Amino acid sequence: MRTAYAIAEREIRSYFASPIGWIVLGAFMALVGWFFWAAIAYAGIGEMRMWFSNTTIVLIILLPALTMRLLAEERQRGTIEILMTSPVTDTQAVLGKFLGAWGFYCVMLLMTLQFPITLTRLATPDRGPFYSGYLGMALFGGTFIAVGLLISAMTRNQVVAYVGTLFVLLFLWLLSWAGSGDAWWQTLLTYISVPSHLDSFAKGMIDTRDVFFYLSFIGGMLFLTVRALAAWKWR
Amino acid sequence: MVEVNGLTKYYGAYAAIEDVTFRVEPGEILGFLGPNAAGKTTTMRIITGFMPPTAGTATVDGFDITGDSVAARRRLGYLPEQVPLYEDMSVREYLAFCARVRGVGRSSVPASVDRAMASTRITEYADSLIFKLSKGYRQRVGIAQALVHEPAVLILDEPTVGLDPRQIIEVRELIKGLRGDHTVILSTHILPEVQMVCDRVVIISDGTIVAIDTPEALTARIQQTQQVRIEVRGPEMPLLEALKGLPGVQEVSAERVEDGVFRCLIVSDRSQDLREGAAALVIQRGWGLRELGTMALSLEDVYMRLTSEAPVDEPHGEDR
Ligand SMILES: Nc1ncnc2c1ncn2[C@@H]1O[C@H](COP(=O)(O)OP(=O)(O)OP(=O)(O)O)[C@@H](O)[C@H]1O
Ligand SMILES: [Mg+2]
Repeated sequence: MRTAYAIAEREIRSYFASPIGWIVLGAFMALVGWFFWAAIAYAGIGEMRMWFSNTTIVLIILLPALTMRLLAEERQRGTIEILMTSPVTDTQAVLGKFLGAWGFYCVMLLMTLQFPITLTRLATPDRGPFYSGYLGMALFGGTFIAVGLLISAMTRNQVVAYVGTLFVLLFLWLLSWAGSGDAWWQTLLTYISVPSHLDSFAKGMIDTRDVFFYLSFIGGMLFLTVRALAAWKWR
Repeated sequence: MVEVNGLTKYYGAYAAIEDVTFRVEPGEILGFLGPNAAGKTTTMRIITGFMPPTAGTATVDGFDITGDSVAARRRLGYLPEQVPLYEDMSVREYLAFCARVRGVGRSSVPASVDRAMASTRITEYADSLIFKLSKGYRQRVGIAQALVHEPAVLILDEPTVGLDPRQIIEVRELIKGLRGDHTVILSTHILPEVQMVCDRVVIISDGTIVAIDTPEALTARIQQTQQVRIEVRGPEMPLLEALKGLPGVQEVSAERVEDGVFRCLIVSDRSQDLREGAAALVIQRGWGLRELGTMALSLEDVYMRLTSEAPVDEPHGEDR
């Protein structure tokens, strides 16, 4: 765990040392800020459900830019040779990479806390949905990052990793549309689709089934990433 | 300390190395010598656990590199050929990261980093970003990261490539200083480097080992003849005749240096040392003896013979 933590820490520093980290952070704040103030200006809505769901779309575009470099860049630059010949297991490396990107994403989320704080200043909204919504967002972003990490493990080209991740995330998002209906397969698609589990968080409910879904989704992706990394060594 | 047994690696259907076997004793410096594409980097990548072998085993300090991989890697420091470093970090940050990942306790990280920087002489660049460093300094950072956790075994893939002559000497001194405390395997194309630094040499060619021995024994083993070089002021023909008359001489050639002065090369049996006889002869005839010495067959000659399919002193054939 200490090793994974060292890798995660290096990863977060490296986001702050690189233009890509600042671009993602800046673009994120600009877009979600616009959604927030636009919602207040046009509709005067005193709650954040709409904002959470708009933010998911922003994340589909921006999170692949965070994850594309995680393993693809290591492979392309060859730095993976020093990393993987250190006493680091594949699991520690994958966990460290995930926690690094997720940690940066959490910093992005923390910066948006100004929005609910502003709301409580302007009015007296129900605060419950804020807490649960942020927990949901943290988990939700984790699933996207885990998908991006897996795809980043499968290529040495960062552009391919970005486009591939964007495609898969869009697909996961579209599933929730295709799944709007009552047939068993539509229910199944809704269950698989990652964003659909966010709704109840945004409404203020913490359903353990949703938490379980997100955590197992992340776990599954990380497991596949470990396998992808091992398979790459045997190539 | 390092034992390599029957190591074989196929890339697809292509065998990069086949049945490579050798061992390195504790505290020894082993030179890994071979032409391009011989399989040096492949062997090192397997020993460091970066890629698994197709067949065979490698152990580091008794730990199998595939079975007990983490324990084996804990004892290793590795400088890859291309020196891949995280460019956006400063030297100090990077080395601290490496130390932590290798299991150096948090409180002793700064001391380990300082020591590694001091021994590779990069302390003055401690806070420079790595992408701003020159090739030679990057190479030093690469060596420093291999040393930072004081591993028992160091594997260095062409450590002096791209350095200026002064740095080459410094790095060689650094590596020589590791003898005894660390076990070192280094690969190189540079023959004098092996002679200067290494206790033993493994010569690999086309993925198979062609020789393992000390540099001296290797040259001696291949050396069938002895050569004496002598420079004399005197008449050419009588000089050649007289030298040919010495016991055990196989061949004498002469080359004119200036008017009346010739440099001769005398090839004789290995058992014969002709130096004293030749000197006595020249003086007895009243010629001027200007220079006398033996020409040792260099490691270079040995290397050329072992790594080329056709022996060097025979015409090259097209048979493959
Ligand atoms: N990843 C790889 N995939 C396919 N073939 C490879 C790979 N790596 C090396 N090879 C091949 O294996 C052979 C041995 O390569 P290796 O890099 O081990 O040689 P080397 O002795 O280190 O050469 P050099 O002195 O040029 O560094 C070469 O023919 C090379 O083309
Ligand atoms: Mg090589």
